[in-house]
Amino acid sequence: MIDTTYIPKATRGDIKRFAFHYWSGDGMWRGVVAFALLGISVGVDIFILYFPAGWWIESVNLTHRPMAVCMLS
Amino acid sequence: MAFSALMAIQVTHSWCWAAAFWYWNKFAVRVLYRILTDAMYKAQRFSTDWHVNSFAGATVRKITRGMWSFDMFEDTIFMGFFPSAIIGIGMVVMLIIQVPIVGWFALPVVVTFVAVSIFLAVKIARPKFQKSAEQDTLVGATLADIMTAISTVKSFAGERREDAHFGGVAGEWRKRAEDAWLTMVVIDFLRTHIRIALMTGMLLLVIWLWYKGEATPGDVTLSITAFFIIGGYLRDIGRQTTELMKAASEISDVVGFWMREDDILDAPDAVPLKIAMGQKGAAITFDQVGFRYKQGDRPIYQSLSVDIKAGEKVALVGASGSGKSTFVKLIQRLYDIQSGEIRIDGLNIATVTQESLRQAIALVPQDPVLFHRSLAENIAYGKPDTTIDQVRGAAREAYAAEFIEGLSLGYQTLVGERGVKLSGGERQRVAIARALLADCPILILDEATSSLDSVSEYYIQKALERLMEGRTTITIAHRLATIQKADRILVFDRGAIVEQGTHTELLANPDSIYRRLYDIQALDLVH
Repeated sequence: MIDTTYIPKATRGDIKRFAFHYWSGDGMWRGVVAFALLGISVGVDIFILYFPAGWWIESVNLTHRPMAVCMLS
Repeated sequence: MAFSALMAIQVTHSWCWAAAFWYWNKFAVRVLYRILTDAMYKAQRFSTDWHVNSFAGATVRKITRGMWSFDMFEDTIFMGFFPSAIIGIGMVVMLIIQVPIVGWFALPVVVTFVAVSIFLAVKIARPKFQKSAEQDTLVGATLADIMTAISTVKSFAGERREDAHFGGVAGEWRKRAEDAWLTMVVIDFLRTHIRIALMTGMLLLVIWLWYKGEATPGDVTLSITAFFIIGGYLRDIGRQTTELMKAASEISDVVGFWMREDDILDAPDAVPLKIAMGQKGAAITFDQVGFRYKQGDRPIYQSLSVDIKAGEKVALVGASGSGKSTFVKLIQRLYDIQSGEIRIDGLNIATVTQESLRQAIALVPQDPVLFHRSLAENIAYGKPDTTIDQVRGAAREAYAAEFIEGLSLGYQTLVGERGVKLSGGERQRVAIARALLADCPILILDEATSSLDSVSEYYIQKALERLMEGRTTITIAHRLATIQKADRILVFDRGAIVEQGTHTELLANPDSIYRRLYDIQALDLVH
């Protein structure tokens, strides 16, 4: 007989399945676009701003170097 | 040139950031809406047994807490973990390319920190937050229970007792919440020191490289900047891991709702119940029905068989617990039977859709519960596409129009939670009007006139006689005086029909249970 008052105890796997169930579907593209845009936004900081930072700082003469570091920060 | 490039990068960053959040909010709100409506859908379809054994307040708390916790869960991933992971990985990769020794030192440092954070959150924080969430549910349930019975609390001056009772439940929650939150502080403290140790190591390494002439001033500046950025994000990742575990603990209940299968399912090939046209009511057959409640210690019915003809007026009589109420619950298929069949007009009710089955049955319960909506909406509940004139007509027939039309807002009056603004008799008349309007072939009256005063009862009995015309009627009777006109009276005793016949026939047998019950009630009236 079915236990009519029972609510299953959710494991971490169940919570993951639950999350993916609700994230997938018709409106999923909005989530994907949001992640992509956020990735670009954060990536811009890392790969464009900080990557050449070392070279840039070295290319600035010593007088201006503190200012360059401040700008980076 | 460099300044222009920096500004351009900053603008690109801001535009992408704003657009990302624009799309994310649209996505997240839609997800929360689906969780909320699905949880409501599931909860409505859980069995009557489930609802009887659950606090309504706890169910509400679980659904709303689950929804907002999922909001926190996905926001933590989107706004916390995802950017932190990109920055963490990006900075380490950049260091590996620019200053390899420092980069290769930073990689295990970051991995170790993240692994320790996850371990602490999963193994230590999560169980504590789970316990706190369970008690939080109990707090909501207790609060709802007290508020629902507030009239009883007041009439017995029970405020102090309820304060103490609630204080105990809330006190336990405080203990558990405090334990969970303080654990979070300790974990954060541990993580901070691990992070400081790791960052100090990295810093010393780069200074040592510079001192030995193996790192340029640019490398040092870059490394120090990267350390601060990595350090900041590591701190965030630590907190986010705990937040994520806290949210996951609080989602558990709503995930349980989602996983739980409905108790009463329509058969895959279920068809709508069709009652033969032109027929008065519908025939009901119990064919060797065996049934027991999940939590019952004995079966209610072993092998119950009875035929009720279309249009027949049947009354069910018997002591409490004899199986009268279960009989009408099974006709509505609020529970599934374990053996035998219940048929309506020859169709096994397990093979028809539950919606069509319940649309064929109107119920006037002993203590009707109304929605906190207008009287017109409550009366029209069984037939939502009805006109206000039909609502008025039903109210007149049920003798409800007198009190409704005396109210300043008339049919638009809101009745309060569960209909609390109306008296028992008024609620009963609204329920009768609702049944009249629903116009179903099967009518179930659970001692429908029990809450009425003598004068109202007289008129309501007349209205009910009209309502019963052309319908199969089953009345659960407690007062035998109200069922003397029934075509047949079924006397229940310990889950079996032990006697049946008309009032006169049953009364004629001096040894019958019915006769004994009748005499007891007659004696009560005399005294």
